[in-house]
Amino acid sequence: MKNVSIIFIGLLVFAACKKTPPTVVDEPIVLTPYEIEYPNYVPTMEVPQDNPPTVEGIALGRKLYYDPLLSQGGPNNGRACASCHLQQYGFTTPGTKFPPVLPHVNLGWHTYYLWDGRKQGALEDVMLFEVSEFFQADLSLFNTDETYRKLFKKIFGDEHITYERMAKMMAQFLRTVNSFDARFDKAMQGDIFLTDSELRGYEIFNSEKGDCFHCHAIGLFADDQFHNTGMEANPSGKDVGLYNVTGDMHDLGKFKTPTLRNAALRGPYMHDGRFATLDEVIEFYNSQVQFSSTLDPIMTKPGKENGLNLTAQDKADLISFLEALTDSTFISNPALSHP
Amino acid sequence: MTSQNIPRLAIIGLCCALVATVGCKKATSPPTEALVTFDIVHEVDGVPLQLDTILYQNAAGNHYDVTRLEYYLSYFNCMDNNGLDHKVDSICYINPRKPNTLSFHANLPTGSYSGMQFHIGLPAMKNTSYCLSNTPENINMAWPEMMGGGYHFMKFEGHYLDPLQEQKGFAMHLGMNPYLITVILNKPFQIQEGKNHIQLTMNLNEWFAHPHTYNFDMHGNYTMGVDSLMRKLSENGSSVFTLKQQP
Repeated sequence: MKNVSIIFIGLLVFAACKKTPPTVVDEPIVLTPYEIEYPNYVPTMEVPQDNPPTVEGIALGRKLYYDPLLSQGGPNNGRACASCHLQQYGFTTPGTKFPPVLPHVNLGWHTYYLWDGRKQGALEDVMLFEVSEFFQADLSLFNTDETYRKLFKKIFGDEHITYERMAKMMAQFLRTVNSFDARFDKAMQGDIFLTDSELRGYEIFNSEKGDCFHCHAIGLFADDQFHNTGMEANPSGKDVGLYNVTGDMHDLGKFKTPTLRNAALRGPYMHDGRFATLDEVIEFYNSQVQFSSTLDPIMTKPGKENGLNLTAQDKADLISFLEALTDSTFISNPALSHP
Repeated sequence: MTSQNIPRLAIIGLCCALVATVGCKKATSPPTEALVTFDIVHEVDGVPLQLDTILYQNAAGNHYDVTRLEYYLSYFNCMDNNGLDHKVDSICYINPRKPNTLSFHANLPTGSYSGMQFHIGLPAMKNTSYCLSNTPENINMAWPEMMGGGYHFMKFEGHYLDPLQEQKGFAMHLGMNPYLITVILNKPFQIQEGKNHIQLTMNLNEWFAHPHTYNFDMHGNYTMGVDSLMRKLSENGSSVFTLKQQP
C-alpha cells in the first residue's frame, strides 16, 4: 500500500511538472538613430514623430529610390525615382520642359511640392503618392522578394510590405538628400572667402538692388511659398499655377519658389522651361516682368516696375553668386548614390 | 488666587495680548495668477480683414487690398493699479493666414490693470541675425545683413488703384532698430481667477493715418530701406492697436 502511494504521488508530481513549451520571443527591433545635420542658418527640420530617421530606414529608402522594381508593370515601367532625379545634376534632369523636373534637394523643409503645389503635406504623404499612384508599385513583387522582406522585417518587426511603409522609408532617405556644402556655405562657415564677383552678386541678391532674398530666402534659397513673378500678363493654360489647385482667382500665375541651390547644374528654368540659361532668367527679371492682377507686390518697386535695371556687370556678378550655390559634394556623395 | 498674583497675571496677560497683536503678523497669501489669452484680430475700420480683394480705402483715398501681413509683437508689459509692471517677455510671430499664430498666452496676477504696452517688431537685443529660433517663418522674415541684419518687423503687402484706376502693388516693409514701435494702451482691464481673454485689434487703416496720412502715390509704395518712409510707418504704428476685454 505504501508503495502504491509512493507511485501514485510520483505520478501526480510527474503530471504536475508538465514540460511547458518555450515562449517564442520575437527579436526586439533595434535600429540605429541617425542625426540629420544642417547649418544653423536654415530652419529647423520638422520630422514626424512616427518616422524618426534611422540608419536602417535611410538605407532601405535609398534602395527603393534607385530600384526600378517600383514601376515594374506600371505606367512608368522600368523607371525609379533616380531615373529622372539624377544625382550629378542635383537630383533632377536637365533639359526637361513642361514642366522641368524639380530637384530633390532639401525636401525635408518643404510642405508644398511640384510647381503648382498640388501635393502638400509631409514627405511621407508625397512618397505615398509616388509609390501608389505615380509608379503604381506592385506590392506583390516586394512581398515576394526575400531581400526586401528581410529589410522591412528588420525595421517593422514583420515582413509585411505596404505602400505606407515604403513611403516612410523613402521619406527618411529624402530627408538626408541635403545640399549645404557649396562655396556659399563654406564662406558662411568661415572656411573660404567668396570672390569679389561672388560677393557683389550676393549683395545684389540680398539687398533691394536685386531683391531675390524675399522669395529665395538665404539658407534654403526658397521659401515654400507661391508667387506670380510676372511671366505672363494674362496667365492661362499651363501658366495658371496654384490656381489649378485652389481654383482661387487670386492664385492665378503663382508658382512655387524653386530652390536656387545647384541651379547652375540644371536648366531650362521656370515652370515651363522657357529660359535655357541663368542669363535669360536674370534678363527676364531685369527687363521683362509683365504686370497682371496677381503680380507679387514685391515686383512693383518704384522705378523697377518692368525689372531690376541691372548693369551687365551686375548681372555677371549675380550669375557668379548663383554658381557659388553649386555643391560638388552633394552631386557625388556616395551616401546618396546608387547603393 | 492671592492678591499678589493678580498683578502678575495681569502683566502676563497683557504681554500675551501684545505678543498676539504684534508678533502674529497676519500672513499675506501670494497673489493668485490666472491664465490670460491674448487674441489678435485684424480689421480695417471695424470690418474684419478679408485678404486678396480690393475692398479698402485709406485716409489718403487709396483703394487697396491686402495680400500679405506678417509681423512680430514682443515684450509685453501689463501695468496693474498698484503701479506694478508685469512683464511677459514673449516674441510672437503674427500672420492672419496662419490661425495658430493669432493668440498667445500668459499667466498674470489677478487684479485690476490700467493698461499694457508692447512692441511691434523686435527690440535691439533680439534684432540680430539668427537670434530667433530657426522656424521657416523667422528665416523668411530675415532682414538682409547688408541692410543692417536682424528681421523684418512687418511685411504688409497688397495692391492698390492709382489715380488712373490702374492696379499697382505696395510693400510696406518695416525693420531696423530706430523704427521699433512701442504701442501703449491705457485701457483698464481685469484679470480674474479662471480664464481671461484680452483682444488686441489691429486696424490696418491706421498704418496710413495718424499722425501721417500715407498716400501710396505721393509717398511711395515700397518702404524697405527708405528711412523717411519707414519713419512714417513707425510713427503711425503706435496707434494701430486697441485693447478690449472679452467677457
